[in-house]
Amino acid sequence: METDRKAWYMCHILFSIALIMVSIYIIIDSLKMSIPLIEKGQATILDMPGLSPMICSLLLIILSLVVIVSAWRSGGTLKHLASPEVRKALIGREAIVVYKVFALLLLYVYLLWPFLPYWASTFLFMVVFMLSFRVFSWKTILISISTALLLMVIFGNLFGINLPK
Amino acid sequence: MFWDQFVHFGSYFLQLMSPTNLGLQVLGTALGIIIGTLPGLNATLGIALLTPVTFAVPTQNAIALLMALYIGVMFGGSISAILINIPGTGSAVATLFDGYPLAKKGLAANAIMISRWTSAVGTFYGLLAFLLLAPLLGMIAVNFASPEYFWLGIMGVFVCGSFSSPEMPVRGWIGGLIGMLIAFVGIEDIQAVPRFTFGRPELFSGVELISAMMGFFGIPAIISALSTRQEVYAENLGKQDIPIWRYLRKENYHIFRWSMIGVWIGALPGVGENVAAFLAYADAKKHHPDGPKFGTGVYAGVAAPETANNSAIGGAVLPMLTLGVPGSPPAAVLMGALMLHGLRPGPLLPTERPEIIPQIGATILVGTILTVIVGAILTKPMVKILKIRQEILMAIVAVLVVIGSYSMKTSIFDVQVMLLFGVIGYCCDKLGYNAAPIVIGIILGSLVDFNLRRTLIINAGSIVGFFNRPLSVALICLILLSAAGPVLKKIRKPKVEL
Repeated sequence: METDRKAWYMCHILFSIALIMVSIYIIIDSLKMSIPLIEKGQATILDMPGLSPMICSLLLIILSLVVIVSAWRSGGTLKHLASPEVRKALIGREAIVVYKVFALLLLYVYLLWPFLPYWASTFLFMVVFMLSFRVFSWKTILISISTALLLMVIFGNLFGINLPK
Repeated sequence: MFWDQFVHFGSYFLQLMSPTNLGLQVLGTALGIIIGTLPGLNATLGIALLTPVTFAVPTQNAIALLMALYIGVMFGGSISAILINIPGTGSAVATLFDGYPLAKKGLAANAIMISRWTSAVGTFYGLLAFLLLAPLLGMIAVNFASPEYFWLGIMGVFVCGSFSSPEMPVRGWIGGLIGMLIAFVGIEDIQAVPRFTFGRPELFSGVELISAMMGFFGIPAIISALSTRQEVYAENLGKQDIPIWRYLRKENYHIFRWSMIGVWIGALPGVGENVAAFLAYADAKKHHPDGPKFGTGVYAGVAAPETANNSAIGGAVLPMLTLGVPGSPPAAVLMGALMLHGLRPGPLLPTERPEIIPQIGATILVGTILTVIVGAILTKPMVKILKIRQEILMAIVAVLVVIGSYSMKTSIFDVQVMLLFGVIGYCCDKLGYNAAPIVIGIILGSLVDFNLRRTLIINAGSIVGFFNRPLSVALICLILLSAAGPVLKKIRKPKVEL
């Protein structure tokens, strides 16, 4: 349990470091977009487009440092990167579900939508989705067909949306 | 002023009795109850999923549909909390403490009936508060200028952050800042300079809010439902034999008290129905005669949270419409939906569209009545729906989330945004970063940005402009008060924990 908590604090440290890096990028980008305008006289420091992002990023850096210090004081260190808890988080049961869900959604949008009519791609997606989670019967086929057709009618015919092909 | 509002209210109530409007509200209520009953889905996701569907209907019908869904979800969450000890929504967590023990005693039908009726009464009290306070708040808000809008936005993010993560408000504030940074994507308002668009024209108008919310809430909900393999055993309903009118009369004072807790908490930016339900439960445990027996299965333990989580709807919608600051995440997404229909929630709304407030009031009243009727009809079918496998339900949700985000602008890019926000939402969920401050930050970020710079320009760079108006000072005091609570708590509590 203790190593569980320390691994969790370590995740907070990593996340805060990522936030700090993003904030630094935002500050640099904000200055890049604002300085040319100020030099041309089209803006001042008070109304430069990068003002609010810079202020928010600075605050984010400060608060992220608070989280890092707090997590470090609670025992989180980067050495827990190699801990079993992190391995479990990356290849455990829930992680597999995460990878499956995203892989299936990407398959649906990038491999099925471009090549099949909407109803067919939706039907296939739902069947594959349920199969990958070990649910398959005549009921699931029926539900998949009904859902695909219903969505096609509602979004395509009733609301007049150009469905993806 | 009140008389005009009353006349408009009555007129819209009669309009809502037309077959089309009534049909839509029945549909919205039914969908809301179903969404609320299913664990993992919630009002925020439900409103986001239904928003694309409302494009095909006039604004009045869209409001009726979405409000009915919002009200239905709040009641629906109690059904699964009572029957299977799993809350359908976050606002029903407190309901299961006494709801499930009641079900185990064979009193599920009574518990659900009490939940249904107290939800309706709570919604009604929330409606009264909404109708009484909206004109007053509107009168105050008309005097708002740039400094007040700025502090209002800051207050929304700050208060939401403080309340959403009371054990460590810093995390809530980080969430709010992340939300604000997301809001800054797009062409900014003063010099029309593209910010953080990476050259993508699709981002010039900013991140599509509804698509982002579908990913943010929908993907983690799907993953969570599929990861927790649980055998669902729904307790038998039993007989419905409690004299409900006698019960409501007997508990009238307490129901009113819990309703006011709900309205007040609902009105606080971004705090919402979940907190309202918990606070009402805690209050009931302290003050109700059955308080010592809470947790063993007492009806007041169900009535308190259900009254408050529904009355919070009126509270949440109040600042959303009059100030442009949503009181809860569902209200935030509802605000996004209203903006897509051409409405501008905020201080100018009562002037530009004076019919909106009584119109929404009328839809809340109809929604209240329908919760009782449709809720009674759907209770038994919900027992069957709860037994449907999560894999099947989540496959349907996944398809809805994808087509819903695509249909906003018929753009694959919005689907990509949805997937990206799905990753962000999942990471935030696992790390314990509450979604509410992020959502509120996205909604209020542009408001804060524009009014910060405008105030500085008007005052030639002097920050005195932020502090020399009475309304600004009042808002600053509210912000400091909301900060004081968590800070004092931390000073008293020596150990810092994440």
